[in-house]
Parts: sequence; C-alpha cells; structure tokens
Amino acid sequence: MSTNLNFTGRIDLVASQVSFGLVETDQTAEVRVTWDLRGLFLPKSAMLRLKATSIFDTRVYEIGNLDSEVGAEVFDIKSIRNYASADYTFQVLEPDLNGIPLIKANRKGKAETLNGVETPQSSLLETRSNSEIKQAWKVTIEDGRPILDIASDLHRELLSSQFFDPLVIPAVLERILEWLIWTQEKNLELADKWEEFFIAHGVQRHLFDEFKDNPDLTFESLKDARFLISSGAGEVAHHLKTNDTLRKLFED
Amino acid sequence: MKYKINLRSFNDSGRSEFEQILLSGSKSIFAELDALASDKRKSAEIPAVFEWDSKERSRLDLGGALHASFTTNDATLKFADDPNVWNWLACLLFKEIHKQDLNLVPKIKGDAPRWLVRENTIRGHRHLVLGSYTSYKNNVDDLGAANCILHQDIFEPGELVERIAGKSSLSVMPVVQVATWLYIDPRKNLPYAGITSTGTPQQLSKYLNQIEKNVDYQSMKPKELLELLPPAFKRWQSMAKKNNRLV
Repeated sequence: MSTNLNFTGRIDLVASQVSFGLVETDQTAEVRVTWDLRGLFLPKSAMLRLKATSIFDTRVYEIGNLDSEVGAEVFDIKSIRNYASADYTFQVLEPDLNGIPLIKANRKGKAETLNGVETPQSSLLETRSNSEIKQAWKVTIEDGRPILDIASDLHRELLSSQFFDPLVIPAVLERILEWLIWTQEKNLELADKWEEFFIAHGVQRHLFDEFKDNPDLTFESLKDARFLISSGAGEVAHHLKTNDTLRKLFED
Repeated sequence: MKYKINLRSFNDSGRSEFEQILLSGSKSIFAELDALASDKRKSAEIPAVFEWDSKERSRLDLGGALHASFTTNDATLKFADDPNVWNWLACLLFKEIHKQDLNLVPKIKGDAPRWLVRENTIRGHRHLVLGSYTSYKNNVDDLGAANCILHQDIFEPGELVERIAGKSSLSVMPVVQVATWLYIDPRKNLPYAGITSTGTPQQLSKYLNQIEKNVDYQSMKPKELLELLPPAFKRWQSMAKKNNRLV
C-alpha cells in the first residue's frame, strides 16, 4: 500500500484507505466510514475522529483509539442540516511531547451513496465488520434480528464492491428465511418486512401460513419446509438479480 | 423603530426585483425596498416572528433577535437555510441598516454579498443580516468569547469579522476567544488601536490556515492556542494576558 506524504509530513489518505458511505431512508441518514490503515505504521495510541462539515453545521465524532488498523463505524447524521452535501474528514491524531494535538493522517471527501446495503434502524439487513469470524461472512441472529457479519479485513472491499450484494446471495436469504420461519423470539416489525419482501419476490405465501411459528410440524413437513426455504431463497436471489427495477421500488 | 413581524421568504419574482433595485442606484431605494418587502405577491410568510428594536444596532443584538426567531421550535430552524428569507430580511432592514441615511448607501455592483444571499454562497459572513445571525448562532454557548465578531455595528462589520467570521473553523471556539483576547480591549469593548499593523487578524487567519494541516487547533483550549502563536503576535499576547488576567 502506498503512502502519500504531503509537504508537511502528514499522511494524505486516499479513497482505498478511507471511504465514506451515505445511507439514507425517509426517516434516517447515516454515514459509514471504513478505514484500512495497514502498512502506515501509525501508533496504536493515536485517536481516530470523523468530522462532518456542511454549510450550516460542523459535527465531530470521536471514534476512539486506533486499536485495529482496519475497521468501520456508522454515525447518525440526520440532524446535520444539508448533510447530503457535507464534507467528511477522517483524522488520525496524536499529541506531541508538548501536548499539541498533531494530525498524523487525514482524508477529506464527500460521502458516496451506498446502494443495496441499508442500516439497522430502517433496513432489512444490517451489516457490520467482525474481526472474530473465520469465514468471509456469516449471518447471525442477535436481539431477534438477522445481521450479516463480514470479516473485518474484507468489510470495506465487500461493501464498496458492485459485485457484492448480500441480498442476492442465496445462502444469506436462506438463513434469513430460516430465521423467519423457525425462530420464536424475533423482532416482529422486522419479520413482517422480511415476509413482505419474500412474498413480493416470489416465495409462496403458504410457506408462511403453513410453517411459520407452528409447533406441531411432523418430520416430513419439516423436510418440506426445508426444501421450500432453500428453493424459495434461490428463486428470490434470481428474481432480484434479474429484476432490479422491482427491487428498487420495494426498497423505496 | 421596533419590529414585531412575521418573517417572509421571497419568491423568484421578489428575489429578482430585490436584486434589480439594489443594482439600480435609485435615489428612492429606501421606499422601493420598503414597498417590495411588504408586497405580499412577492413573498410568502413563514411561521417565525421577528422582534427587534432598531436602536439596538450591534451584531450581537440583531443576531440574538434572529436566533430567537429561528429557534422558536424545531419547525422554524429549517427556514434559516432558505437564502430568500435572508434576502427578504435584508430588503426589510435595508433602511435601518443604513441608519435611514441615503448618503451611507454605497454604489452597489457585482453580486452584492452584503445584501444578497445566493445558493451555496461561501461569503455568507459578509451579508449584514445573515452574518450577524451566523456569528451569534455559532457561539451561542459563550457569546462573550465571540465578542470580536459580535460587538460591531451591523453596518460596519470591519476587519475582525472579515478575517475571523469568514471561515467556519475560525468563527467558533477556541479561535474566537483568542481573537477576542488579542484584539478587543475589555475595558472599552472596542478593538485596540493598531490591530492592522503587526500581528493582525489577517495574519492570525493565515497562521491558523497554515498550521491546520498538522495541528488540530480546534480541539485545543484557548489559552493553549494563545501560547502557540508566533512572535509576530507578542505585543497582543502580552496585552491579552494583562488585560484579561490570564496569567
């Protein structure tokens, strides 16, 4: 990874090292900052900060220590007026021997709109960076909702890649469909959204009518449900891949 | 004159006519602008009431009155982003700003930033009405610290407003506090004589613009930032410490 030192000795970070993504819905607006500072030899004690500056407002978000050279954080920016046109500045700070806070590395830029991956408050599927999982990604259920954990070292690349979209991966959809059918403790509002989503994209309504939250299923009917879930997830993924317009309508 | 009036926002026609009158150099500019401000076909009412006594002419007074108007409730704040609210206000207050003296009205040309707000303007601080509001709003938690950009008459903002209020990172703490200590005589509430000779507000602005590449001066305490200034500011530093009892 290259290092851009400007004339003052500060490292000017580039888009492949720090990126800003804007995720908007009717009710929410969030900026997702992702960083990969490997190879820059920045001190672990350095502090990370995000600053959002619009014509009318400036907000500062303290991220914390540089514990991990690769990471991501999401911040609520809805209250910033004109947030869509705001400039975002990511800084790595460390005080010198006299306590003067020095900017060791810096990146300033606009946030790009992230499509397809939304945020926890509003979206169907939350994603997050996870340094503990061994595989590239994994759907976990937490607090009654599915979350897509992505390995930390892949998180930024995957979310910024136009080729990766968690909603068109059949295995992701299958795991979510399982959660929807089998799990008793779930966020009902989110579950309703997911059910509407699956039905809108071709899953037979009777899968839910017959199997959802039904404690009296026989072994044979469980096998049927498993088959329907698997094939249903595949169909939905195919439908989403080939019908982008419909999907956008649903997301709006 | 005491104002208690619902604020309005120009429509395109009102905004266009305002610019034409400003640039016309008309001898009856006060009357024409008064008529335009009260023409209900050229503007729409917004749900914010403006109360101001024109005898209270400092940027602090006007900024405070406007801040009160826009912070009545959550719904009113968004109107502060509307350039045509500021254009209507400049039209309404034009005569008062110029002390009802036609001789004080300069020849207005170009984009007229002291009276006209355009979309995405970067010179909003020069607008005689919006600039007062912004300086007040940005420092509402400690107005005394921002005295360097609030004590002036609305008609004559001067060098400190141009240099300190002109950039968002300078127009807030800790820089406003340092500039107030450096350049405002606390006994007179006026700038010291000679602030445009050496260690000037412009030099302060340039110095901070230089170090901002490497130094996060915005997170420093005002006293720490005061100590960081180079020798060119020594005279003002000494007076700041002595007259504000900072030692």
